[in-house]
Amino acid sequence: MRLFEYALISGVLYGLFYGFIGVGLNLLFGVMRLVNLAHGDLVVWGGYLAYSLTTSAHVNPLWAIPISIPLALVAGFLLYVLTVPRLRRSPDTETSSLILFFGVSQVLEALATMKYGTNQVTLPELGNPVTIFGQQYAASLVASAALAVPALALFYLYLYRTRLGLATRAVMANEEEATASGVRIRLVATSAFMIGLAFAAAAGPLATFMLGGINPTTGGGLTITAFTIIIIGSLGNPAGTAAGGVLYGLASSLTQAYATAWTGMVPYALLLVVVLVRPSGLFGRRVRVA
Amino acid sequence: MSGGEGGASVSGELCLEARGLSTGYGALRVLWDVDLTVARGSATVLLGANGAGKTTLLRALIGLRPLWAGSISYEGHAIERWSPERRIAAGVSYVSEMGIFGGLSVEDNLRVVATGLSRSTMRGQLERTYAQFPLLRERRREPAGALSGGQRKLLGLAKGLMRSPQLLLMDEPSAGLSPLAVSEMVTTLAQVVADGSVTLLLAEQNAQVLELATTVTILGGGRVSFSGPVGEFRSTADVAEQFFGLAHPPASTITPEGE
Repeated sequence: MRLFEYALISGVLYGLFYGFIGVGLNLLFGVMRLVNLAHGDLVVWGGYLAYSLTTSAHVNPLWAIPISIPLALVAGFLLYVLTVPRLRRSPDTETSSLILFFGVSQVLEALATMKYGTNQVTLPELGNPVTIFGQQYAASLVASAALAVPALALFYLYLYRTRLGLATRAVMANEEEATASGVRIRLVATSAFMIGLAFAAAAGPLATFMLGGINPTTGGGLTITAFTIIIIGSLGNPAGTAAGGVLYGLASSLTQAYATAWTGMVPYALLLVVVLVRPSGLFGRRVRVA
Repeated sequence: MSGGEGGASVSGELCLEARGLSTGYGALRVLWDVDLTVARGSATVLLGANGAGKTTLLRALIGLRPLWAGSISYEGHAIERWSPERRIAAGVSYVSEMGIFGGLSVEDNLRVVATGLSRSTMRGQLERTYAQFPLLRERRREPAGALSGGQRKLLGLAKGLMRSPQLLLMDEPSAGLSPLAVSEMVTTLAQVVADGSVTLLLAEQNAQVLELATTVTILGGGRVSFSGPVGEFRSTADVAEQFFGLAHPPASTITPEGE
């Protein structure tokens, strides 16, 4: 019973963090149908920033979060201007973006290898373990979940409480109808791109703790995980992204507790079931067919 | 509204003038050298069967479909190179056949049109819209997709009017509606016409919409085959035949049943 309770609580905590990982991808894929295969690599670069801060400046690695956000916004703007207008003129934006971002992903991995080498880098634990219902959980796990909640809330506020968010939801629902309604598509797309990248980079320091360390190739797996989460949770739905993350976290931690050998597969089995049975995701209002 | 009353506004100043419009999709040419004039304050009905190019023409006028050739003048501005966003900001409004975002709430559908306006303007326009369409206020929190077909069309129209346009382009206001809902839509559109501030260009297949027309333009096979005051359209058997085609015997009178 104590094992079950532990798996349940850590599953939820992990899951909130995974929801955080999914937010940025949700914006890029949901708004612009850009298959951002570099998403995980951007997360990893956020992690490397935290590593550099800790090793060279000896500050708390979580400072990397506020520092990475403006950096990612600028990088996002530049990457947007250089790639997206051309991509969107392509007759098949999704496929072209998949190939382009695969290239971006490879470049980011190569740069990481040049600067940090291929060995796993880790961050020192944030503090003493936290006791929840008599059992101890790593401080970094609790901190990650605690930071993921406001991140998901911000994502919600952006989409549902700002006018740019309303325009963003309209573009997600039907870009042509949005154009015909006078929505400023380029403004929406640029913002979504920049904000999406900022969310990815900000999740990086947490990922370094959650994954037990990062290396230049960590990003690929993270990208797949993020796609799993946003498809389970339905595109364009912040509550769905949080729920998709928690479902993924629970599936991972429960299999880890009871059927360790299956850990790697169960989350993807979950994805397959969702895609086959309910392609619009568990929380989809048929916004899009993923 | 009868055709006779519309005669005066046809001779008024032009709101929209398109010359020699040609466009299509890939190798398929849809519009062939189309000329279209819309007088300020008129209600022009663009009649044509499925595939005649009505939707393509409206999409070209709002800027969703790039032109192969031709020019579009709106209130004296050459707008053919303007983005849809800029045309909309200048007072042209477009309601597609679907017209709405099914997944967004009724209120969000109305607000999204006004995201470029100031908050106070948006609130004012929303209040004005709700006053005109009380049903939408009642259902403002519901997803637009939950509305009936007729209500969706009304929401589309309300959305098209949210920015108080000078020119409203609307695709198939009566498509897919029950006869009762068609009558309601025609009544509502007639009110918009009577209000006088909006020039209408409606693409239609349903002859019942002619009740509110001042001008009729017939599009067939991507070409304009008739354009003139509704009275002239009604009195010319040849023209009626052109529109209703071979499926109907030459009609001496045009009945509201249409096709």
